[in-house]
Amino acid sequence: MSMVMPKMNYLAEPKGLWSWIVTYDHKRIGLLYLAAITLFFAIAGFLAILIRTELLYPGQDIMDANTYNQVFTLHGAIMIFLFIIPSIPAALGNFVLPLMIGAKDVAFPKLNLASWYIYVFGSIFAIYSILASAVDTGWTFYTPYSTTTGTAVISMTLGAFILGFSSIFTGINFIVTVHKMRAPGMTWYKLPLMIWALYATALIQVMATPVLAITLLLLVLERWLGVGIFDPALGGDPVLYQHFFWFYSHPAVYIMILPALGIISELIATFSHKKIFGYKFIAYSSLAIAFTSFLVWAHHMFTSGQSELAAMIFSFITFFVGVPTGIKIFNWLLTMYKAQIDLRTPMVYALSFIFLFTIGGLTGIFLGALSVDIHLHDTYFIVAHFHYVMMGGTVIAFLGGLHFWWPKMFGKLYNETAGRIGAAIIFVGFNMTFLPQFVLGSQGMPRRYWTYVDAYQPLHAFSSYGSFILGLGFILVFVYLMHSLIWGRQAPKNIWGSLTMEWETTSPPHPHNFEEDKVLQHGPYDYDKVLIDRDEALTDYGYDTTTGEPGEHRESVAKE
Amino acid sequence: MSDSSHGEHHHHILPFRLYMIVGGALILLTLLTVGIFYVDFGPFNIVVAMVIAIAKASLVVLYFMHLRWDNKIYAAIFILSIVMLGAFVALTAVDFFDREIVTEGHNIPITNQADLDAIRAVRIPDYEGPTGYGADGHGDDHGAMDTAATTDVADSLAASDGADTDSESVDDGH
Amino acid sequence: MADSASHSHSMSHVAHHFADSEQQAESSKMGMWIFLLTEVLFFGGLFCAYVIFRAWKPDMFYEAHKTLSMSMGATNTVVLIVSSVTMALAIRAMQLGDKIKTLAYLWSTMALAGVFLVIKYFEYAHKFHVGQLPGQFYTYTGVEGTNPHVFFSVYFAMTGLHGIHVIAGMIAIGWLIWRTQKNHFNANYYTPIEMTGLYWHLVDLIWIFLFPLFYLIH
Repeated sequence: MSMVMPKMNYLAEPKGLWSWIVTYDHKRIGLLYLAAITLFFAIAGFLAILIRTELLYPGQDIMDANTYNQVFTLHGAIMIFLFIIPSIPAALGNFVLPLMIGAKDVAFPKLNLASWYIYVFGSIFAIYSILASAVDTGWTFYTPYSTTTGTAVISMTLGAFILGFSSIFTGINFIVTVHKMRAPGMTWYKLPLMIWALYATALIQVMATPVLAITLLLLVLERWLGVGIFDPALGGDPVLYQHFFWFYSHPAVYIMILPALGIISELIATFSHKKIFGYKFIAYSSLAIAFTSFLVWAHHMFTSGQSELAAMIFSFITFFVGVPTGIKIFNWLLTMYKAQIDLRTPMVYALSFIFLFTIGGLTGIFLGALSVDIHLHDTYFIVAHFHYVMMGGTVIAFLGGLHFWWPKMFGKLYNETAGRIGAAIIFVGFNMTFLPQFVLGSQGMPRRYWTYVDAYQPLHAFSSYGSFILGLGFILVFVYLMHSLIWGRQAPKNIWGSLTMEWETTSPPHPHNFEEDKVLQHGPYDYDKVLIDRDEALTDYGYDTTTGEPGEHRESVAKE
Repeated sequence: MSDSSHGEHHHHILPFRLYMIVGGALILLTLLTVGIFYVDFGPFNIVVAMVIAIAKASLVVLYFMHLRWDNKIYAAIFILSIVMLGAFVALTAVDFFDREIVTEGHNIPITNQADLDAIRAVRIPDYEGPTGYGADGHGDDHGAMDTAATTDVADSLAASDGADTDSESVDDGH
Repeated sequence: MADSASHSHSMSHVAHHFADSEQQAESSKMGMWIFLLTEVLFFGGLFCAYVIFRAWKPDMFYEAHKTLSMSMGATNTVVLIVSSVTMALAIRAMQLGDKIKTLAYLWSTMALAGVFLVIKYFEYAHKFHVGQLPGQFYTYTGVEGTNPHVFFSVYFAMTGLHGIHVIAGMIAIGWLIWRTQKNHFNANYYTPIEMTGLYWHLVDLIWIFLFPLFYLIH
């Protein structure tokens, strides 16, 4: 049997550039997002390299203080609004959600395309504001500085306002799709955990983003008309702005992490070839995280001047938010216990995730303690914490998911050895960059500072060199993935031996996902019930992808 | 022509009369809320007004928006929005109604820079730091523990106060 | 799947990724209700600001609100209520397949929305005239209390945002009129009218709360 790209696949049909521009196909829209977020990740990542270069030594190295303010603001704003919020839901989620539930598309394909164009439009606003006079307020746009600074706050916030609608429409689409478009037989408890995660994420997107929208509108009105809602001299309160802002932005960080947690569930189950431990616990924990996330926002405001009572209440509730996440981690560990682990690239990322996210999550709990946060707020400890959860968490999971679904999306296999080397470089570079920052923060190094006293220099330098290694790791990943698109070997239907529905179609899939109407045959994690001849995935193509050459075939065994 | 059993959309047609009755009730309730405005219930005035508003809203949601007969999921979505909004307002209010400091000194109408400076002077009356907010140390008496905990808060308050005076133009929107 | 003539006729509006029109209609409805949830939270932010500022300065709010015309506000409330009735009747008319009545009710809804905006225009014009404007543009001196412009800032933000939603609703109704005219709808398929109706009722709902909160302050 020869390995060829299936003729009828969504990449080839329909043909022509125009068909991509007006596509309703969720898979194509996912790829459009994927290209865009990669671009923005590269831009914001480059800005990060500039930041770390500037911080190699105290005082001015490559830019002055005002420019530095603009660079870190843009790094944050682009990473958050243009990269990480859409990353997993819009790029990967769009692609896999209908496939995993056996649907032909999402509930509202036209709305999906609209989401994409709104995202593009909002991005253009953001880019414009960078070129006009880049915002220097920090990505949080705190008043009173944001209402008085001379930089292009209005265009940036309008850009974020527009981007918010993209997020909201994606959320509406996903919720209705999961409710209404599941294949016959796929009850809620037969859904892959990725779907539970995307669903919980969508709930947050629709409930939180509108408050961001009104916050940004009020900020624009404040700047433009001087309405005085946030200005104490005019009878307002700047802390009110912070309440408004964080009511969205805290749940937003769960928009970032929940889909990542969903990916990890899929990776752990597939690469352990074992039924996931505690399915319902993991499923409900996603919902628990979604709802609890709305009640803790002012833990970002412990030093803002808010009332002590409020601070205590928020600190107390914050501790609860870590519980459902902890439940997930324990369930993953128990899934891996006594399993035959397949250590291909996606699993390397999954294991990295568990290590890095545990650090990130735990340090979040430390920060949730009011008394501790008073000292650590606005220091590098915070910077390290959120990079561990956002990069060590979301980005690592995103890469894991990308490597997992890459063969499905493009029908191509990347070089497995390069994959694992890339993962290792990223792991090392990441820890080199951010682990020292915990120390810097606890020693008092403030964040968003352009210069610092000499005592901090060695750790800053170490961190900066780590960031260069991290950057190289990403570049390597990009290179071999692009290489695979042109020179990669054809992927079979189910290279990993996974049991979720997207692996039952060709790689890449048919334009309408499946050639026949899908009906549920087995649960997504029934590794104990369904015998997958793992070699069936390989024998068609006559090679063992772990070594890259024709090799020995291994049988997987069904457990009793 | 309407209800059929093979996946056709189920059409529920309400009698014309019903719309008239509900519409009439809504107008009556509007007249009621205006009329009852002239009765003083003291602190319960707002409660009365909101109860009537909620009654009107319920009529619109149940009848005009058809939730009375629809799948419960839509009602759940709507209730959820109210609940989340309630959580937002309630927790934000906890902050604002537990604070003393910002309500001090807001008795001077602002018309010029001198008034602005006067506001800033009285905004933190007799503030010495450790005993919490406000001149007579409102709120719990934390004693010695309070000193360490609020010093940084005091510093950041003082610092931000300094920052306020640094930003030159507070009424210039750009 | 038994096919009657009306069934296959109505199937033409079902998109390819849906199994049947029931799934499509229910999906649309769910999607619209979730969108309404986002609107509640969008306005909700402003309600939160209202709660905070009114509780901070209840006396100033009382004094400032006296400048509003209760009769205009009450009239607008009735106008929107009637427009909700006509909107609901438009849906009912299409459920009965009556194109003429549907158009009549849609036009009535649009006209009533227009009346609402006209009354609002008069209210706003008066305020502009006497200087009761938001934020730094406030110049009116007849209101007792500190920073009365805060009241007007919140007032204009909330009623202004509401007004924008009324205008958006009118555009949507205009689009429905056009489609109804072109026979896009029938007794089996009127989902867009229903969904616009849901949106319109929400706009009415918001005003039901805005009216007592701004015009009936003690």
